[in-house]
Amino acid sequence: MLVVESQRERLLTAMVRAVAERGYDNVSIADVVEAAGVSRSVFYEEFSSKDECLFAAYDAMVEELIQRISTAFSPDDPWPTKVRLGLADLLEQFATEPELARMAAIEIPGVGAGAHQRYRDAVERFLPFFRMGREYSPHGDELPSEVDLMAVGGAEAIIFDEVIAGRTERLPSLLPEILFALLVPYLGPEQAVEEMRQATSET
Amino acid sequence: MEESASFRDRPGARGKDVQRRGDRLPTDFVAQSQRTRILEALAESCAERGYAATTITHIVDRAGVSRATFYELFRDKEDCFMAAANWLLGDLMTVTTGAYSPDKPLVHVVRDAATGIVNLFADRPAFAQLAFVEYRTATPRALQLYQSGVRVILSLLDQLRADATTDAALPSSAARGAIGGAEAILRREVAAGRAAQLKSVLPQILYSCLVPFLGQDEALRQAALAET
Repeated sequence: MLVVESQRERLLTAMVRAVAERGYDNVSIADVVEAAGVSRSVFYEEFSSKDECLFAAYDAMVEELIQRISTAFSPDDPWPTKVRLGLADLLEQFATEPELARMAAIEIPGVGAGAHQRYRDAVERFLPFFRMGREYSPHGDELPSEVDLMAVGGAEAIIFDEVIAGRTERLPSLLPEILFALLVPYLGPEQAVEEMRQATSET
Repeated sequence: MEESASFRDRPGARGKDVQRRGDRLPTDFVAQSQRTRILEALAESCAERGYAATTITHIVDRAGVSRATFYELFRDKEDCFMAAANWLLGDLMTVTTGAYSPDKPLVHVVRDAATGIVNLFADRPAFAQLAFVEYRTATPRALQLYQSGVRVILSLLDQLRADATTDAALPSSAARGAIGGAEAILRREVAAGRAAQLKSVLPQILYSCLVPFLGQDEALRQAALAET
């Protein structure tokens, strides 16, 4: 299948690569347009600044991540299975494309204001996957209101540590542990350990 | 120059009396309060416009000191930021270790440490912004300092884990995930401008920290006890 990338897409891809390779501060618009094989004027048709291009790349990346995860499981799967399959897909994506993972962490000194909020907004996009957890949990009604954010935050912390340390290739092997972090606020430790064991035996 | 005293006892802190005398204040004291004012000014400037857009002019204007004074005390903006972050880290450690006492059940130590940390940040929203929002994009070294702070709490929760009946089965990252959950909630509140009301999320923070080690029933119970 022939995939034709638009010029905009080529710019976004080039930006992600350039940032991963040399750090945001060292990336110039000239670098990005050269790597994308487009002219400077095309860049300015699409974006008004380097930051804007970076943020657009970021948003596109998050969107794609979410789309792929949504197709990783079937609607009939029990909720913990959905979480496991979605997580497996996410970790696989990060392991095969480390610059994606680094971008996701948006650990980028020098980026303008708004980077942090973008990151928080991206994390919040994963929350809907967890709403079902409340119905599935034996303690459904009693769970704290922010249990979804708690679960995602726990996984985020573990994933982030590995990404920052440059160990993205380890991520798929950490699936059982990260799954535990996602499930324990909803299911408690015994059940979360059980799910973790099942995930371990299936890899 | 001596490291400044505890964050809460800093000169000019709310509730802390500053002696007024007819004579000139001793130079050590003046220097100390200037340093403190600069660090607070940095935090407030960063809270307002972000670290990247904060200039030394912003800082010295806000602190009411001269540029010369700034440069006597700090090498540059980053140096100043790191000093503020270190100050905070020191107090985090003080609060956490201060929560220990002999024969105190570990779950109460965790509760008291969590309460102390929440209060630390609720009292100074600009520093909460620094700790939870700015640290990621300010400077790479800031992230390292943040991770040091996390390790302080990690060691506390790992002790709780050693007591847990399910200890052997829990993943090695259980405490890191528990803290991550609390961090996400704190970060959201601070980024939304609700740092001064952080106490309201203490029950949720406790639940996140305790559930892997004590189970849902006990974690819910402890969270309910923490409701004000």
